[in-house]
Amino acid sequence: MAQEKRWYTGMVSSEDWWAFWIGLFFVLVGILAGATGVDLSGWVIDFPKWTNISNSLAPDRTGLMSGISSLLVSYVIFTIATCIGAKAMKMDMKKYFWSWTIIFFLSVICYVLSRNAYIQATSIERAKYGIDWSLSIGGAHYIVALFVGLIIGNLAPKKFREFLLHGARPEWFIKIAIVFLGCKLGMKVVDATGFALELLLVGVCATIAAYMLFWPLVYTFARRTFNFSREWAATMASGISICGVSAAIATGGAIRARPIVPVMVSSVIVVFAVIELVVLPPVLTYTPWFQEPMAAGASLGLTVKTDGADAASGAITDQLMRTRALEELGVQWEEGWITASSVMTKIWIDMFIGVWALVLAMLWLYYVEKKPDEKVQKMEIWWRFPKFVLGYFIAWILVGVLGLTVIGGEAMDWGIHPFESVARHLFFVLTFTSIGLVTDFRKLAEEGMGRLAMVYGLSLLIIIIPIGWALAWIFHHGMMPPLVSG
Amino acid sequence: MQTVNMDFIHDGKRWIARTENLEVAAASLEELDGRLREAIKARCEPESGSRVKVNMEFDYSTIPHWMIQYHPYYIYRSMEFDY
Repeated sequence: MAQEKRWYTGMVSSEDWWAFWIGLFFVLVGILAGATGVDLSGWVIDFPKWTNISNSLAPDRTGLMSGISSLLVSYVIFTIATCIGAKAMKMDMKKYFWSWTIIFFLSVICYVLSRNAYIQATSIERAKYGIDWSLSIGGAHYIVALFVGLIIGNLAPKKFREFLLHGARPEWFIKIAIVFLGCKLGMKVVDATGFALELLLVGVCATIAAYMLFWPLVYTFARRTFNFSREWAATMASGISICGVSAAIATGGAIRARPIVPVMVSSVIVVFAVIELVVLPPVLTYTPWFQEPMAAGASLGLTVKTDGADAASGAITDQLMRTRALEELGVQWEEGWITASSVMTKIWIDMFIGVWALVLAMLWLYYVEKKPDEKVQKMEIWWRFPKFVLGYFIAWILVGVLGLTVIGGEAMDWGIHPFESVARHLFFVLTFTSIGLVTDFRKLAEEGMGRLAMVYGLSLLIIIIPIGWALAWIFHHGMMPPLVSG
Repeated sequence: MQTVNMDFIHDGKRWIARTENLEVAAASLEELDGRLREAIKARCEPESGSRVKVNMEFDYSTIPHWMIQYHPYYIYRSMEFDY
């Protein structure tokens, strides 16, 4: 039965909080390893490029154990961690465990096969692998995992598809990965505080500008051009212009819309997010955006509307652009900064959703629908605040401050690297597979979806992408990823 | 002040608010609130001049399962009825 909602409600029962707990737990393990010198983190499985498949698995800490052992240890530890979360969230444990296991090993197979040197090695790396040609497709593992997920999610027998949905949690996996990404920025604070802070500040500016422009334009477009009701137009405007499904749900709730409204809008959002995820990274990489890699990353944060698809498209763009930079410019950009740029912008957008929902709730209850008995709860801001973002910033601050002071940069990097880099990549691949599994293109054929999809697609093409690109360029142009040292 | 905590859902046609021993349904939220005010008056018999607080949490399990991972809850309403 219902209980009064408190500030701590959901701390042990929501996926968002469990991304915080799990992400931060492993970050603390990494920090402890760095502080003590005890190898608590080197077991994490890595997937090096290979020409002989026996070299396709290796622990992050070379020589600590065999590749197979590292894979099994990683599977067991990450399974225990996510099962604890699943249990606390009252999921069906048997179904979660088996579907997670299938998704984990499916992702591993995609990862291993795609890391073949003939697929991923750059022209500069070919000699190292003893090969004379390669496709040089950086990030092929992400693309393969996505397409395998899409094929199963759309073509496999219905019972199997529905079973896999118990473990396909793209938002959960990406939020855990984003907490790990916080460590990367923390390490950058150790190296170059100015760059990390600049990225933070321009992300805020771009986000505020986007809020001011996107929402009213899409709302007006939906109302005037397509005669949508306020209920539909406001939910649609938030979904497409702010942060996708979470914004559609938050706005639907704020304006007291019938639940069918955010449900239908969300179905369109996830499908378009996947289309953007496939189309935008190559477009950005093979156009003049290549000259502005950090701005290109930020543009994804402003235009791709779910956390999973945004971070995933950032990761593909990161790989594609770094490969092209190495091939054509002979420079080696550090991994992860284009991804960080796309995630940073998106995180600010996510954070403001609580404030935006509060503003809309006040506007709707006090002025539009005038409900004097109902009070808007200021706690809405906290309840709707994405808690994994706290994990991201705590990881950033802990790694940055401790790395600059008591632990030292080198020891911190040693301890945290397996999570900041290797585990993050693994959770990205899990996200790609899961995005594919949960994306059902048949939704667009359902009754009433055609008009929604048309408004969404047009708004994306004529409002969100052009303005998002312009804002990303205005605030981020000239910023370049740091070069790999040494 | 007396407090009543309720779940509520939308069944496709009507908003329905419910506790263990009280259920009220209406096509719109305005109508639901009006009926709820009367139902509480009949059931709880609040004193004249008193105020009853009603918290209504949307039953999130009625939202499609795949969406729940994106946002932690849908609507939480807090009403105050003066009698």
